[in-house]
This record gives sequence, C-alpha cells and structure tokens, in this order.
Amino acid sequence: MRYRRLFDLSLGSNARVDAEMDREIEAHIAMRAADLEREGLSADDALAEARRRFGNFDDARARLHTAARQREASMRQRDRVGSLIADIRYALRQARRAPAFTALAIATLALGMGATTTMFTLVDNILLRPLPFPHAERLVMLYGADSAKTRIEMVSSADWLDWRHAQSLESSALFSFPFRQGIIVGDSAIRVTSETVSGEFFKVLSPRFVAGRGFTDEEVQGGEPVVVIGERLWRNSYGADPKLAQPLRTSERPFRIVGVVADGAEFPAQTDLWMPTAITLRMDRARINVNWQLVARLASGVSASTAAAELSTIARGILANDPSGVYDHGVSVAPLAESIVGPVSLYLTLLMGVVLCVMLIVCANVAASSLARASVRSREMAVRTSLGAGRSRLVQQLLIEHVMLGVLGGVIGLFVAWISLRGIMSLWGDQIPRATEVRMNVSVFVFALAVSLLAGALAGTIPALRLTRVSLRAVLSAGGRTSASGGRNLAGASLVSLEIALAVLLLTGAALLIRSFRSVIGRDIGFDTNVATAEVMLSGPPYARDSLRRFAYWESLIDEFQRIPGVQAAGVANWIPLGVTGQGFVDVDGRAAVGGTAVYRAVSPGFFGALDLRLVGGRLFDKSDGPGTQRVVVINRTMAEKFWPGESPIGKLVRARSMEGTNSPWLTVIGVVGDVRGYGLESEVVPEMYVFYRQAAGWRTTVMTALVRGSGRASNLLVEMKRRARAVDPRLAVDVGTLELRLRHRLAQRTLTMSLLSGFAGIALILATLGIYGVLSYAVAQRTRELAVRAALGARPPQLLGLVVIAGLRVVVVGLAFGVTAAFWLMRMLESLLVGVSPLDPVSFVGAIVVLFAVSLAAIIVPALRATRLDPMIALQAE
Amino acid sequence: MATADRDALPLLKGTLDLLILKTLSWGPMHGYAIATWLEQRSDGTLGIDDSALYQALQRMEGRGLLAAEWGTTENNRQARYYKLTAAGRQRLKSEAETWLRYTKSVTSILSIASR
Repeated sequence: MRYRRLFDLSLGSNARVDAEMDREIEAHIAMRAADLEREGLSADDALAEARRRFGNFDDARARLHTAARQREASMRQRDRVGSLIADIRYALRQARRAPAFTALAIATLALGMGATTTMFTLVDNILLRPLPFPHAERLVMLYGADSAKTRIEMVSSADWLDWRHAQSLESSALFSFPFRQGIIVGDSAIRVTSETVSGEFFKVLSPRFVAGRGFTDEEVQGGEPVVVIGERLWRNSYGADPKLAQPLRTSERPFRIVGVVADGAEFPAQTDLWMPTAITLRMDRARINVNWQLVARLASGVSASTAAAELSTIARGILANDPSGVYDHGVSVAPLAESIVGPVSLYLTLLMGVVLCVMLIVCANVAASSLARASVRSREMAVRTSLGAGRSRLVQQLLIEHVMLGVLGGVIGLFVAWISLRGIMSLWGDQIPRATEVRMNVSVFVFALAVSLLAGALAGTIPALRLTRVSLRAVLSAGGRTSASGGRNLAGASLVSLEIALAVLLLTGAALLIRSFRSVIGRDIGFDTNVATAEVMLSGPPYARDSLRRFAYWESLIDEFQRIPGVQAAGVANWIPLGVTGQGFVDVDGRAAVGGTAVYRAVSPGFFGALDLRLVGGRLFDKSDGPGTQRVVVINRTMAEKFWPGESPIGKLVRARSMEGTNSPWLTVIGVVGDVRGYGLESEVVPEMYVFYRQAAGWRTTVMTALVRGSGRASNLLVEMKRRARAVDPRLAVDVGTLELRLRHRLAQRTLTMSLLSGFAGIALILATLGIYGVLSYAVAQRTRELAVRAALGARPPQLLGLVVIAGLRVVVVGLAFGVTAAFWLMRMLESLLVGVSPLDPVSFVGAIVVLFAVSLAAIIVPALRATRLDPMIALQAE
Repeated sequence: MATADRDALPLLKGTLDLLILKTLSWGPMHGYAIATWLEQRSDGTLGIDDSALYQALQRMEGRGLLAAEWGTTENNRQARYYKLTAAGRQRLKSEAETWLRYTKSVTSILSIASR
C-alpha cells in the first residue's frame, strides 16, 4: 500500500485527490448539519449554517483542493525517497549475501573507474582548463609561414617591430628559447633555466606573482638591471624573502629582483629566471636572426583568423620592400594553449578513448556476471512477484543494486586514481606539460560521480530487464533451477561479444603502438649515444666580449676532458644532437634562388670522433684549418644529396644566411659525414652542416656543450668531468648529462602512451576472458539436464565437449568480427602516432585476433570439460 | 453561535497545528470531530474556521505528521480519520514544551503589577 503512489502517476490523479477532498467536506457538512438540527434548527437552516462555517464555500473548496494536491505531491515525493532507502538497504543485504560476486564487481568497477578518473583528471587539467593567465583564450603564438606553408616557429626582432602595431593585437612580446644561465648564490655558481624576453612580456601574460611585480617596458628601455624569478628559485635560493632585498648576481653584474612568478604560472614551463632585453631595430636590420618566439594577446573580440589576415598583409608589405624577408606567405596565429600542450593532446585524447572502452568492458562484465547469477535470483524475483511487487518495482530495485556497486567502485576508483596520478607525476611529471597544475578538483569528482552512476545503470539495465521477465509458474515449479528462456543466454552472449569486440579494438591499438615503438627503437640514430655531455655558458668578464678568450677556454676544456683515463674522443658543439638545435636558411653557390634550410652546428674537430660519426667522403677538420685559413664546412649525406644530387659536393660553396647575413662568407665543403637524427628517433633526417667553430667567430657563440666518449658507461665520466671543468675555471657552472638520457626523455611520451595502452589492453583481455568464462559456466549449468539426457542416451564425451565449445566459439567469433571491423575504421585515427607501421598493419590485426581467440578458447574449455564429466544419474537426480 | 464567533480570539500563527496535534493525541478522529472537540474544550473562545482546519490537516498530512484513512463513524457515515504518526507525536512533544515555556515567561511579565 505504501508504494501505491509511486507508480500512480496517471493524469487522473489530481481528479482523484479533488474528489476525495470533496467527500471529506461533504461528510463534515452532513455531520455538522445533523448536530445543528439536533439543537433545533430546521433541516435547511442547519445545512446553510454548516456551509456558512466554511466562509465563502466555493473559495474554500478551491483552496482545499489545492492543499490536497500539494499534500499528495509531497507524500509521493516522500514515498519515493522512502522506497529508495528501503531498496538501498535491501541492496546492501543482497551484497552481503553474495560476497564473491560483490567483491569482484566492485573490484572491476574500481579498476575501470580508477583508470577513467585518472585520465579524466589529466585531460581536464591539461586540455580543458584554461591556462593560468587572465583571459587566456586571447593569448596566441605568432609564427611565420613560408611558401611551403610550413610553420617557422621563430621570428626575427625586426619582424616583431613591424608586426607589433597591428590593430588586432592588444600587446605582444618576444621571448627566447630557454637556456641555462649561471647565477651566483652565496659562494657557489648554480645554473638555472633562463629566458630572455622583451619588456612587455609580463604585460602580455600577466601571470600571478607571489611577490613583487613584472618589469615594465619603461624599466627595460631605460636599461635598468631588473629581473623576475620563479617561485621555486625564490624559495630554494632567496629564502622566500617577500621584500626581495637580495640582488640576483651573475658573473657580469647584480640585478634587482622585482617580482616572483607563482609556481605553475611560469611560461615557458620550468623557467626560473626572466631577463629583459630592449629590442631595437639595430639588433637585426636584415631580419635574418630568426631566433625569437612571439607571444601576443589579441585585442578583445578579435579572432585568430582576423589577426592572421592583418598580420599577413603587414608581412607581405615587408616582403615587397625587402626581398630578403622570409615570410612570403604571411603569418600564422595559433592559440598559446596549443603550443604549450602540443602533441600531448593527441596522446591524451587517445588514452581517454581507451579508458572509456575499458569502462564499457567493465560494465559489460558486471552485467554478464549479474546475469550469471540469474539462477539464484530468479526464484527470489518470482517470490517477490507473487507477493505483489510490480515489475517496475523490481527493475528499480535491481538498478539500485547495480548503481550502488557503481558508486562503491567509483569511491575506491578515486583512491586508485589518486595513487596512479601520483605515480605518473613522479615518473613522468617532467614530460607532461602543465604537470604542476594537475589536481583532482571539483570537476573530477563530479565526473567520477556521474560516470559511476552511469556505469551502475548501464551494468544494471540488462540484468534488471532480463531477471524480472520470469514466468512465475515455470520458476516456482522447477524449484528455481531451470530458468525461463533462451533470451537470457542471448543477452549474456551479446554482452560477451561486446567485451570481445572492445578487447580486440584495444589489443589491435596496443599492438600497433608497440610495433611502431619497436620500429622507432630499431632505427639508426646515426651516432653513439653512450656519450657524456657538459654544457657551459661563457658570460661576463673575461669572456663576454672576447671570442679569443672563449676559444681558449673551450680548447683547455677539451684538453682536460681528453686526459681523463679511458676517454677516446672529446669535442664541443654549440648545438648538439638531441639538444636545442638551430636551423636556418642556406644559400648554395650558383643556385642562390634555390631556398633551403639546414641544421647549423659550430663544432670542434673532436666532435665527429666523440659521436662516432662516419666520414663518407672528403676529410674532416684538421690542423691545417684555423681562424685565418679558408673557411670550410662538413655536411651530412642528406644535405649532399639534396643540393648536389648525383655529383660530389666536395669543393662546392655554401653559406649560412641566418647566422651571418647575406654578406656572410662562402664556405667550402670539404667532407661528407653519415646522417644523424638530431631531433630524435621519431623525426626524419634533415640536412646538416658543421662549421669549424674557430672560423665562426661571427656566430658569437657563448654556450657550448662538450661531448665525451669513454670506454665504459658515459655516466661514469660525469663526476670527473665536473671536477676538471672546475679546474679550468671555478666560477663557471657546468650542466652534465648523457645523450642516452636525452634520448630516453625524447621517447618518454611515446613510451608512456604505449605502456598505458598495453596495460589497458591487458585489463580488457582479462575482463573479457572472465566474462566468457562466467557466461559459459552459467550456460553449461543451465544445460546440465539436457547434457545429462544426451549422455544417458549414449553421447560420447567428445560430442558433449564439441557441443559446448561450439556454442562458446559462436559468441567469440561474433565479437571478433565486430571488433576487427571497428578497429579497421578507428585505427586510422592513430596514423599520426605511428612510425614505420601502417594503421592497417596485418601483423597487429592478426596478432590481436589470435591472442583473443586463444584466451577465449581457454576460458571455454574449462566449463566444457566440466560438462563432459557429468554423471548423468547424479545430474538428473539433482533435478 | 453567531455571538460566539464575534467574540472569538484570532488564532496565533502555528497554534492551530499544535491544537490539532494535541487533539489527536487522544486517538484517531475525523475532521468534524476535531472541530467540535476544539470548540467544546475552548468554550467557543477560539475562532477556528472550518476550511482553515482542513487546510491545516492537509498540510500536516503532507509533512508526515498525520496519517489519514477512511473509516466509518458511529452513525455509520464514511469519514476520513486522522491519527498521529511517530513524527507527529514527536512534534507535539517539542512544540508543546516550547509553547508552555513561552507563554509562561510572557504571562509572568504581563502579570507584574504596575505601580
């Protein structure tokens, strides 16, 4: 009776309530009139007086109808809540009664929710949340675009001076590539990640400051020695002094620290120190030093495409006046967020899709194991139906049972996510953009709650609909053993097929990524990576303005390193492979019209030996080359083939326009060396040219990295290298490392994605196997009677085995077919991540199918064997 | 009867609910019985509009303080009987205490003889 209202939502319910109210009023008036009559009033007067006591009778009646309807609505509401509480209590009792099922369901849901929540936290924080700057949506990066429509990430200072006045820009600023700057804290020199920026930099971004403020353009133009530092450096080296009393000292001069940027708000990421520089036209009139990056804030209401159009017009105007201009196709404008997050967004989106697949498998799995419990519960359902519970009531209750499992799984999943996020951050935090901003915030909790509810409902729908469709008579008369229809088997079979299809999808994806990874790893990087590196910046007196002092320093550093026992070769280069690398424009003699780009490196003769680069033709630098002799250059094989196809490049002339301008001297090619993948294994080989660093004084190189190859592991050399570098000049800070480490870092995102995807695919495989096993065990249990009859009639065990196995395989094959079809369409999305493997790689597809088929077969065999070992007598008696 | 109406005291807000709860603490009653019971106990000093009474009954039933069921009177008439729920009993106890404390302090202030 209590729950009558719950499903009584018919349109007539208001009318019913009104009628009831009327009956009550009627009864009241009749009783009052009877009493009044007894007191002596006439029948008519008594009735009139009784009505009069209601005041204006029609008004009163209308008011009472309203009151009754409100009463009905609020009671219905309370009933609903009450039944919900009753159902939750009942569900908890059910859960305690089947601890194995409950534990398994909650565990798989927790696993799925953990993975989903982890990925969502990353996606939400890194991709969805705006950057930590006010009106971050208006922040953009400006790039040059050349005729090939390729983006040139760097611009020259002269270009910026022309572009900055565009109407569509509110403000804009230049910033350099990050570099390591030596600073002096107390008595010791340390190196920090530093940025050179133009004066408006902090006006453009306006990040949060924990102390002080950004420097202003006026201070910078006035030549004041001001800098801004990051919160990390401020805490570690300046005692987090809010007054900023201490100056920042370099070997050149002291600087006044005017502000401290809050952790997480630093741009570019991990910058410790921003040093301003006043940009003037004098710096680079010829627009060839394209070594700046350009960040801008769009004017309010201006779209990126409008800005790009305006800036392109300006750029074409520059090109018309000055043919040496670079950006013949104008300017491209990209959101700052895109440039910060970069390729990670692709990986994250992929993994988010993957975890949602895993979550679906989890739901299907819980649903399948719920169905498998049908034999236990159909009796309970029948009894409850016979006691008067409606079907919708039972459906509600079963749904609540599953939603509760979902929520419990979700809560544990939050812990799983918290732990795995900590793991991911400590292992790969430095490889993930915006990693310091990653938090499990409110939207993560809301998401987790929504997904757990949804997952519970999804997992519960099929069992709820199937379990409640029981024939009362069939179940009760058969003692709850045989359950009703084949329909339930079909539901179980479709769920398992779904699981298998999703598992095939994930396995194929994982196989593709693994094969792609192997193909990347298998590539020849072209040089020895077991090489120790030591980066030194020569700034301040006596080096800043004296290239000879700098050369002397490099020479003695190389000498010192070569004297380390076991060292086979040592050299220096301004830009080393796997490091920050300069690319620029080259002119080739006689073909000045042919534009081209190449990687420039200024190197010492020992560079080639240290990297174990093979000489393909000609010679390397030797004693005959010096500051005063003919300027020479060594190129790589790709450059030779690109600019001098089919002929020998030896003796040909080439020049590095971006370093020394159009008046730069021509360099004679003296040798060709083997190709290197300077940007890592994932990228293609590009033309490279190596100039003798002592002949490149015009490059004004102040940062060089020494490369040292020894007989043992490169990391064993680092301590000794640091010691010897100190012996050469104790005031200079040295960054040491190995090329191998750099290579591993370059591969980190790929390794991470591959490992995670493989892990998820493994989970999917296990869950799908469990699903097949559960559903098939149930099917065999259901067919016990049939199989026993067959056995009694003389069927041999192999025939029985075949019967069960074929039933199972049918489900598996359907799943495989769907999965492969889906994979065929979806794997194209992976294309940009794949190196050396086609998205339709047959090995990956066949491999995934074979693995799933084998595992499914194993899951089928166990219940099938059980079926053959049935003793017909026992089985039939059990009925 | 008409004179009684004119002299009736207006009901203070919330008082009617408390009176209904108290009335029903004697046992289930239909609406008319509640009305007459209150009229008799107050000697007609409390002016209770019949429609206001039923409004209050609906409201209190909606809040779960009362439960209602159709039953038969001693005169064999169909009437809707109201009774206290556990929540209603609880409410009566707490409201009555509050009311008594309140009136006691107000009374004691008002009965201080003025000089």
